Amino acid sequence: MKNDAITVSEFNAVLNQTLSFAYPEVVVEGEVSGFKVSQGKWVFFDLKDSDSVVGCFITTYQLKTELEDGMLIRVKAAPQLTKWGKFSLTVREVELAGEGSVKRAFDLLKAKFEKEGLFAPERKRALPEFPQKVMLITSAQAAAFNDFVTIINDRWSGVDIDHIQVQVQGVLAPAQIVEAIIYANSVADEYDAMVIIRGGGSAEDLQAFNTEEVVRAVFASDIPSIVAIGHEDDVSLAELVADVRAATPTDAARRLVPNRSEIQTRVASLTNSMLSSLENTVSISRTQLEGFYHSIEIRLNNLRYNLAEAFTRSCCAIEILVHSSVSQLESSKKLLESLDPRAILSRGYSITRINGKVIKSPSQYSSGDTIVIQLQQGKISLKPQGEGDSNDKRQTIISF
Amino acid sequence: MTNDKQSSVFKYSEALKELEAITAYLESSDVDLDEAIKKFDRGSELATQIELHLKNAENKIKTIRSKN
Repeated sequence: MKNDAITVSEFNAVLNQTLSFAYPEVVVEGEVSGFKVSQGKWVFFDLKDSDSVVGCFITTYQLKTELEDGMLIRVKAAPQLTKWGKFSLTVREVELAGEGSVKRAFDLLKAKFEKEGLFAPERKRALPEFPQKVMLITSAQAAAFNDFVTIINDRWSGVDIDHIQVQVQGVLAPAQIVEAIIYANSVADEYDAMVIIRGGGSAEDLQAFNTEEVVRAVFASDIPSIVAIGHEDDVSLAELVADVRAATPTDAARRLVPNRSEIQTRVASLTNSMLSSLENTVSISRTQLEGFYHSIEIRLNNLRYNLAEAFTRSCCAIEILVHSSVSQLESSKKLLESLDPRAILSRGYSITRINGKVIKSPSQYSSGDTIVIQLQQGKISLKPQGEGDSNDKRQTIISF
Repeated sequence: MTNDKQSSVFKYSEALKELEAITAYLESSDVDLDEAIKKFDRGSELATQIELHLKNAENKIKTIRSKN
C-alpha cells in the first residue's frame, strides 16, 4: 500500500484531469446564493436548488451581468477540485435564466449607471438635422432593418448609410455590437450619427442591449447615437445611454431624417417670404423715389416763386427809384427855375450892371460908366449924353 | 468614402441656412435694393437646388462589415 500512495497534489491533479476529460464543460442552472466579490477581482457564489449546492468561481472581468442572491442563472463552467480540497465550478459564462432574473439584473445595472451619471440628460447630444452619412449597426436579417430602410426612403433623399452586420441576440451579440461601435468610432469624422436597432423579442432576446459592455461602448461613442431596441414598451439600457432614444426602429428612422414634404413646405415658405420682402423693398424704394421727386418739385416751385418775388421786388424797387429820381429831378428843376434870375425879370424886376457887374448901390456908379439895365425882353444901356443908337429896338440909350 | 465627401456632396443644412439668412436679410429694414435683388436671385437658386435634391437624390445603403 505504501508504494501505491500518491501525494495529495497528485490526487487533485488526477481528479481534475479526469473531471476535465469527463466534463470539459457543463451547463448548470440554479439560484445564486452567497454572492461575494473579493479584492474587486474574484467572484464567489453558490448555485443551489431545493436539495443541493455547488460553489462557483469567476473573475469580475468574465462576469458580464449583474448578479445577486436569489437570481436564477445558467452557468457554462468546468468542474474543478481546488488545492484546498473544495469542489467548485470555474465559470466561463453566465446567462440569466427567467424573466425575474433578467429584470433584476437590469435594475441593478441601471441603478449602477444612473449613479455614475451615464444617463444624465445634460450629456445628451442632438443629432444633426440633415445627416449625410450614418452608421447602422444591426442585423440585416431582422425585420427592423427593412422597416428602418423603408421609412428612411419614404421620408428623405440623399443619405449614405453604412451598415455593419452583427448578431442582435445570443452570447456573441454584445461583443460584436461593441466591436462595431469601436470600428465606427475609429472613423468617427465620417459619420453624422450612429444608429443601433433591433426589433421586438423576449427579455432574454434583448439582453445584449442591457449588457455593461454594450452600454459603456454606446456611452463612449464620439458619434451621436440613436438606439431603438424592441417594441415601444421595451426599455433597454443601451437606449437610455444613447443620445437619442427611439421607441422602435421605424421611430429611429423618423427621428434620424427630416420629412421631405416638411422641408419642401419650409423652402416654399422661405421663397414666398423672400418674394414678398423684395416686393415690399421695391415698393418702399418706389415710394422713396416718388417722395424724392416730389421734394425736388417742391424745391423747384419754391425757387420759381422766390425768383418771381425777387424779380417783382427788384422791378418795384427800380420803379420807386426811377420815380423818386424823377420827382427829385422835378423838384430840382423847379428849384432851379425858381432861382433863375430871368424868372424875376418876368415879374417886372430888372438887373442893373455896370461893366457886366451887378450893382446894388449908387455908390458903385462912377461918372462916365455905362449902366446896362437887364429887362425880361431886353436891355437898356444908359450912357453919358451923346452916345448910343436910338434905332436899336432892343436897347434904349438914354443920355443923362 | 473619405473626408472630402463634405465638399462634393450637396449639403441641405448649409443651403437651408443660407436661404434662411437671405430671407432674414430681405425681411429686415433698411435693405439696399440692388443687394436685395442679388440676394433674391441667390435664394431662388438655393431653393431650386434643394427642391432638385429632394426629388432626385438617392439614399445609399451598403453593408461595409459583417460578423456573421
